[in-house]
Amino acid sequence: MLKLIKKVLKTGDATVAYPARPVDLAPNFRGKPEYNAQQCIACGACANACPSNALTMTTAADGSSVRWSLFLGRCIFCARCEEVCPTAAITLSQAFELSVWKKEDLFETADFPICQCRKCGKPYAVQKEIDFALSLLQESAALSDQQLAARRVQYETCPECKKMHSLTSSDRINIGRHLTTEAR
Amino acid sequence: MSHNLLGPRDENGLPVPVTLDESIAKLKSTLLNNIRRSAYVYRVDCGGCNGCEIEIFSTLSPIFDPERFGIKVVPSPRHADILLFTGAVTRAMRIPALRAWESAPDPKISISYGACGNSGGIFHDLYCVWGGTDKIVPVDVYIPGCPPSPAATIYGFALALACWIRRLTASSTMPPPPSLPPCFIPPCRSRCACCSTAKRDGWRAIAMAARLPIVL
Repeated sequence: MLKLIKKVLKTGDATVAYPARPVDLAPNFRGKPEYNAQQCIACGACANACPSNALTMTTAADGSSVRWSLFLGRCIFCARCEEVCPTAAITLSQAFELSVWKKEDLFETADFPICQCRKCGKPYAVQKEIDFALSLLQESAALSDQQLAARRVQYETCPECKKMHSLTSSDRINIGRHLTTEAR
Repeated sequence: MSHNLLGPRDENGLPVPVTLDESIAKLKSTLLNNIRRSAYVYRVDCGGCNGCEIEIFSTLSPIFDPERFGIKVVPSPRHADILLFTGAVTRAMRIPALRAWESAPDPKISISYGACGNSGGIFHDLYCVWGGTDKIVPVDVYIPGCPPSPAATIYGFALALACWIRRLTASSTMPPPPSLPPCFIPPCRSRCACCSTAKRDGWRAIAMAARLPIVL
């Protein structure tokens, strides 16, 4: 028994002083997903990857905006969203004190305007996503401002209108130009 | 032999009475006046994967030791002040969970523990899952995490204690809570969650639990 007491005295106090002092967290501890709406392009990759549907993208009924929303109460802190995010807008922080009294406090949302098609005026893609693609093009292909303006017109047209456009201009194409005169 | 004795001693080897800091003494008296007893926790498993249970038991270990704050796990809901609901509420476990809630004496605090308890978690769209503790009983504190870490659990307990103080001090002047309607959906959120002063008391309770003077 004396041996045991000696051991107990030697071991000392194992209890962490958590509420009084911050707790030691592992460097790769996955806490609250910190979201930066400035950085986000609303591509929806995180909502696609989220295994528990804590992250969702919903389009407003009038089609004017897309809402990114995180329900922390459903989040399983797997960091798949951090993996797939192309712009590093979402990172899992070390924050773990997430308890709340009201369920509403577990929700986090951000709204993004949708681009209207230049031809038909229908909403079809998030404006920020288009801007991101254009800025990527400008950087990688070194486009001039004039070229970029032309691309912008093209990018801000919905796929249906683009198809219609290529259909109407097909009368310029001479289908029979490779055929021999006998076949005509 | 005197060097082997624990704590401060006088020349006769008798322990010197511990003197408290003024702020700590004040907090302690507030704590004693408000609560006057320990908070007993009963753990209700509503069909979880047992990850939350493992994390609760690691919270109860000497490393985190919630008994510092008077939080103790009891084996019967009739002894409980705080009910800890874990797991997405499955069809089979909803009635036992409700019975546990019914048998706990008032005033009681229910905590929804983990992602499944808060909303159903990854099981939220399963056919046999009710999806969340708040679908069957009124919930006072939500602790997110899959599972919540022991430190997060202690933080949640601090919020629950705040809620409980509020409930204890309010119960003498407020009418008893309305009984649940025949359907399983509670009519409203908890009373204390609606109280505007609950937040202030919460920080006070955390300060007391942490023995820290926090400016309110």
